[in-house]
Parts: sequence; C-alpha cells; structure tokens
Amino acid sequence: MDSTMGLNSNIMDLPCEVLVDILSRLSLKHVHQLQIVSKLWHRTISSPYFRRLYNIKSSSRRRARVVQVPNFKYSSSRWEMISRTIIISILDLVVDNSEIQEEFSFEDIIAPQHSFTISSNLIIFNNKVCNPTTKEIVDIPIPSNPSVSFDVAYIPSNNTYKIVHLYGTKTGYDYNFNHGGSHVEFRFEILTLRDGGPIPNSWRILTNQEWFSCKIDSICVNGVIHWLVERGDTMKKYIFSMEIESEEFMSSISCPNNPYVGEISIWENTQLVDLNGKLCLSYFSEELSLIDLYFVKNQKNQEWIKEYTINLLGIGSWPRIIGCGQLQGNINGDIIIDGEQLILFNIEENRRLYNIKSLSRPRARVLHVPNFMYSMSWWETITQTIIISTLDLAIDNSEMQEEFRLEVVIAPKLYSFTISSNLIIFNNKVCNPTTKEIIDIPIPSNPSVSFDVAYIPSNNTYKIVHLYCTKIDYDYKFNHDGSPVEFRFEILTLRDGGPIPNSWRGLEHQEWFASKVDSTCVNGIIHWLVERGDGMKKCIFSMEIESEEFMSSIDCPSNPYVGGNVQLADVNGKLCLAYYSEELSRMDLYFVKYLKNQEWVKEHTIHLSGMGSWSKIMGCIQLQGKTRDIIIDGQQFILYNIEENRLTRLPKHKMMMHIGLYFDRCFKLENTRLSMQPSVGLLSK
Amino acid sequence: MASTTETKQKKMLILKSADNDEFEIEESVGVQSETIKNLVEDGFTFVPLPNVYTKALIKIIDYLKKHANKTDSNDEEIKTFDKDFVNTTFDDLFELVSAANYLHISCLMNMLCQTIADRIKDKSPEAVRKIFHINCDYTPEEEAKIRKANAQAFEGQFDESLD
Repeated sequence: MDSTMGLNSNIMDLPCEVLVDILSRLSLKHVHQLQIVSKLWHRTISSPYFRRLYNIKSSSRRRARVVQVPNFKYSSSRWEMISRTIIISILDLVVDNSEIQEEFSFEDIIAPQHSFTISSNLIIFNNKVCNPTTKEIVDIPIPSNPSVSFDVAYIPSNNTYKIVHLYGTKTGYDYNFNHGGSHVEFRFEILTLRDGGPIPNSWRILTNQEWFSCKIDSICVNGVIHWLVERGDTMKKYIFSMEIESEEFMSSISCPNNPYVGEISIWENTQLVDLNGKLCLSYFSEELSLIDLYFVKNQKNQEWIKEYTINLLGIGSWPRIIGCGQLQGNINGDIIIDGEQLILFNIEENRRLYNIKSLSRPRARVLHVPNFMYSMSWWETITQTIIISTLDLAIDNSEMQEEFRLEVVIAPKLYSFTISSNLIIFNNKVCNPTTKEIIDIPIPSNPSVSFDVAYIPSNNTYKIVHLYCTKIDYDYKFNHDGSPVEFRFEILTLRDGGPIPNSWRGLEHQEWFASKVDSTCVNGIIHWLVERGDGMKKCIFSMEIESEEFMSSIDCPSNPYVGGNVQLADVNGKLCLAYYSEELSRMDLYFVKYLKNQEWVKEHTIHLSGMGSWSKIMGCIQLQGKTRDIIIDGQQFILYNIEENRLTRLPKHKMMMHIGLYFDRCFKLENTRLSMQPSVGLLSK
Repeated sequence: MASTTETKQKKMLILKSADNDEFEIEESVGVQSETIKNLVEDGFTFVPLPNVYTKALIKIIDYLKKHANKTDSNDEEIKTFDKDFVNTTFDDLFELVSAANYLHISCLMNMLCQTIADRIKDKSPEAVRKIFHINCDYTPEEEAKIRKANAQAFEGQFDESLD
C-alpha cells in the first residue's frame, strides 16, 4: 500500500489549481525564484491568472510597512531640506515584539512641487512611482498642473492601478492653506498602470470638476476614492467620492459635526479610515484623548452613526489610525494606531491590546566642540562649532558617528547653551538633534539665567522653562555668599509640528536666592539647586511641569567635601544629588527618602580614581540586562553600574565642551509614516 | 420502533477507492465533500472514486468523521487532530491534497495547501524540485536567462534542506 501511494505522488498529477493555490501562499520573492523549477512552473507563475489570484489572496495577509526618514540633507544655507533618505521596512504585526526589518531605501529629492503619497501599496513621489513589494521605482509623466494630492486605487478584476491626481486649476495658488477661504476649481486626471505594461505617456484629464476651498484628507476604500474637503466654512466638512473602475462621481455627503471644534488644532483632527472595507470618519480630541469613529448608515439621508469611541490616554498627540486587520486569530476589529508608539486596539472589545513597537531606539547622542573662533583680542570666543555625534552604547568599543554640525555665534550676556530633555537651546534658537531642525524662539523678556526643558509624553509637547533674574545687570553666576534676589519664570510650549509661540508666558511664581548651581528635569519635574546666601547651604525647589505648580523647597545634605563639586542627576527616574571630591576621586549619590522630613540617604559611593577633574553624571540608562548603568564623563566616559558596583571605561573622546546623552525621540510627525497594506505584486517588467 | 427510525435517519453511503476497497460511511459525514454531496443529491448511495487510493481515503474518512462532530467543546481536540493529520511526509501530503481537490473538501484543501506552502517556504528551486520529484526541463542557458531576468529575487540565502 505504501509503495502505491509513493508511486502516485508526483506533483505533475496535481491539477494546476492546486499548484496555484500552494504557490499563492508564498512570498513574491520566493515565487519569482521558483520560476526556474520547470517550464510548467514558469508558465504557471507568469500567467495573468496566477498573478491576479496572487494579488487577491495576498490582500488577506496583512503586514505593516514602516516608512522611516532618518536622514535629511540640507542646502548649504542649512535651512532648506534638499533631500532625504526613505527607508522601507516591514513589521510583522502577527508576531509579538517583532523587529522592524529593513527592506530597502531610496533617496527622495525635495523639489519645490514636492509630494509624497502612500496609497494602495504604492509610493508616489517626485513624478515617480515605487512599488515597495518589487522595489521598483519608475518615472511617471509630469502632471499638467502642480499637485494637490495623489490617490491610488487597485482594481483586482484586471490587476491594474489607477492613480488619480487632484489638482487646482489656478496656478501659483496655495491650496494647502486655504482653510475658510473661497471656493476654487479642482480637476482630476488619471494614470492607469497595468501589470508589466508600459507607463502611459500622459495623464488623462477627466471632465468632472469640484469646487471647494481646502482638501483635508482622502482615502481609497473598496475601489472608491473619497475626498474630505472644506467648502469655505472650516466647521463644516464634506466628502465626495469616485468609483474608480467606472470613474463616476457620487453626490457628496456632509460630515457629522465635529464634536471637538473648540480645540485649536494645528493638525487636522479629522481623518478618513478604511475600517474592514467600510469608510470611517474619525474625529480626534487631544484634550480628551478620544477618537470617535463614525460610519455612514444611509448614504441618501446623509445619516452618520458614531459606532465606536476609543480612549487613548497617554498615547501622545495626533495619533493616526494606520489600518485595521484581523491580527489575532478570528477576532475582528483590531486597529493599529500610530501615536508616539504603535498601539493595537480592538474596537469590538474596546480594549487596548499592546504597544506594538516603539519606533525610536534609545541611543546616546554626544556633542563636542572642536573649533572655536576667537575675537581679535583672542580672549573672547565669538563663534564655536558644535559637532553632534552619536555613540552606540550597547556596542563595546563603538566609534562615535558624526551626525551634523552647528555653528553657534556667541553673543555677549545673552549667550546660553543648554542641553535638556533632548533639545539644545542656544542664542534664542532650539535644535532638535533627532530631526536636525533648528528654529528660532522668541527672545526672553530678561537676560538668561538658565533654560530647562521638560518633555510631556501624554500630549507630545515640550515646555521650555526660562529662569531669569528681575534685577538687570546682576551677575547671578558669581553671587555666592551674596544676598538673595528675586527670580522669576517664563514658559514656552512647543507642540509637535505646531507653530512656535510668539512670546514667553510669564508665571506668577517667584523665588528668592543668591545663585543657581544646577538644574535638571526628572520625570516631569524640574528641580533647581540653589544657594540662598550661605555658600555652604544649598536647597532644591521644584516645579511639576504639566500643572506648573511649585513644590516647597527642600534643604540638601551638607557637602562632605569642602570645595567639591555638586550636581543634580536623573538616576533611574529618581532625583539624585551627587557630591564629587576631586581629591578623593569619589562621588557620593544621595536620594530623597522622605520629602516631608527632608531626609536624604547616601545610597552609593563611586570610586573614580584617575577620572580627572569635574566629573559629571551624564545620565542613566538600561544598557546591559535589567540593571541600569550610569554614564560619567570625566576626562573619559565611564560606565558605572551602581547595582553591581562595576566600572567600564568607554573609548576616549576628542576634546569636548558640551556633552549630552540623548535618546531619539520622534517629534515631528512627518518623519515617520506608516501604511498598512497587503503586498501586491505589480510593475514587474 | 425507535431504533428503526434511527437507522432510517442515518443514511449510509459506500465509497469505493481506486484500489477497489469499499468503505461504508454515514451520509452526513460524506456530504462535507462537494463531489459526494452532488452525487447524493442525484440519488447515488454507491460512490466510486477512481482517483483516490485506499490509504488516502482512510485518512480522509478519519478527517471527515472528526470534523462532522464539530462542537464548541471539542475545538482543542480537533486542532490536535489536524496537527497530527498534516504531520507526515511530502509525498503523503501530495496524495492527500490531490484527493481533497478531487473530493472538493475546501477546509481540508486549505489546510493541506497551507501546510505544503509553510514547509517549502524559502526553499531553493533545487530543493523544491527534489521534494516535488520534478526533472528540470531547462537547458543551463535557459535557466541562466531566467535567473538573470529575476536577479533581484535570487539575492540572499536559500534553504537547501528537504524536510
């Protein structure tokens, strides 16, 4: 019996449809490899029937495609971005804690008419189309008018893509910022891409026209492209739609009223989503951390129903729904939300499942200043070059990688240079080293004493707190043993991608002290270490950054090393006071035990013989296993594990003036885009 | 009286394999196959299956019996059965998939095709040829030409194993 079965087991006996069924479950790359198995397999795989079936079947295998933009190139003036690298990666959503797999990358040149669209699994940029599945990039004809937007629809029945270009007929008009403006004429043109076929020479213009003031969003759901637009009134939005195969337009429907209009939003808080093949309109409230999902119940009566409300406490600002799929077994209703982190949320069961993966990997970013330019007298520095580099601390003996350089002009008096919470503040400018953006901030009302920055994860904002002395010309830096003077605070709030406020917002609160020694931000609380007149006695006062409330000040333990250095540090998310003795090469770390009793406990003493002077704790991160390491900067970097009392030396660095420990934080939403699409093979020549 | 009603309700079918072995099964079990269902609807109670050999038919009848009694409580049991069912050689899988295709049992087809696809995942064309007992009918020149045309697909590592 066994032999009978073996003899008949020849795949040549298998009907073609069984072979097609098996092959359609493999990756496209593997299928292409298997063309050389035999002539029959080659014929099967290259047949239009197989390709169509493959594309339809692969729609059910959902993976997330992660588009990251890690590198920007700037023009010589450094203000304009000229190109950027776009990395396409795959994140398997079905597997827990899966790593993002980089697939390929390409360079995107930023032209004045720049556009970047990801729609129906194709990427459109600079008159090019990229199919991420096959990694092909082809040129498409230049549209007749500058872009408003592109949308792509896939038509499974004949395995073609249609790219629909929406454009305004008025040239030189800024369509992106016409909120509340007058109605303008918009038109459509179409480019049809056939599997393996030639690219058409020109766009085919449709006769239809639409009049509206501003386009908010667009999406393709089940072969119908929907555009969300404003018709003059910013409060009222409409959706008009086009059936892609017949190219017929449907009568527009008006959207339900936005329940969160009161919120002054920088980003549009309205989004169109494809949820299980149905058009969904989502309204997002930043204040309440809620997303409402509306579905059309009755197209004729223009009736909408709010079917779900998602609570997203702590997800960060401006989350976008990436997509929806059946990710775990047979449970429907999983949606993926991209805020500061990727979140999987099940709308049927109304629960947040897990955070998929934080997109930013913590690394240390190192700043050093190799060049100074001095004034004619050679005594004053007038400019300095700051090199921002990264050092991968997880790898032994890793070299520092230069990222970019900053030229800083040293202005007398007002000059300050602060690195705090991943931002660099200098000369009334803020630099985000992650995005390499440098922006101007308003000039503070009084000369600087110091700036501190706190990051608020719940709404993805930064608050810059400026501490200043109301007594002008007072040299607060050399006022040890002097009498207390009045200090005040003002705040600047930076929102992700939002405009920079015009002015600092002054606080009522005031503090009296003689000189400021150090400051740091720990877990959303800024602590200032000050002297109140007596040079020996120091105290700390603190402010909770979100509520902007000040806490009663606490006295510091007395310094055991007379003449030694003192520093505040964030160690494991706890405020730490470090006293350093140069003579004894010792550093004592104190932590507050009871805030009320002002009781401090010396928890660690670090022996740092041969470290050199002015050792400073850079930061504390989890580098090896579960315990956290402290990084100390003396004449060289030291990695010190306080739990195990173990010391590691990191490679020597060049001359440095300012060193900061940084963690990548994606603050500006354009930098990371996600699209969840099935992999569809097309465009192969 | 009651027992006669029961036997009347339990209609039986006879399946005959390609090696002329006969199997009696309940109609309710057999109609999970679209092919058998069509014949039953036309009044047949004797079903010859010239394309299905005895060994495969025994396994498929096992599968149909198990899945005919599907309830909420034996979900885990069926999952374990299915796992054991596909844990066999490639040759047996091909025999089974061929039979399931002829009998039109869609859930079994889906399971078998997925199992084969999972097991040939990332395998080199050479390994796939051996697994499927295919003699390459390309000349070396023709093969090189196709490799060149799909160069991008041939980057990276292959799995040469045959299990």
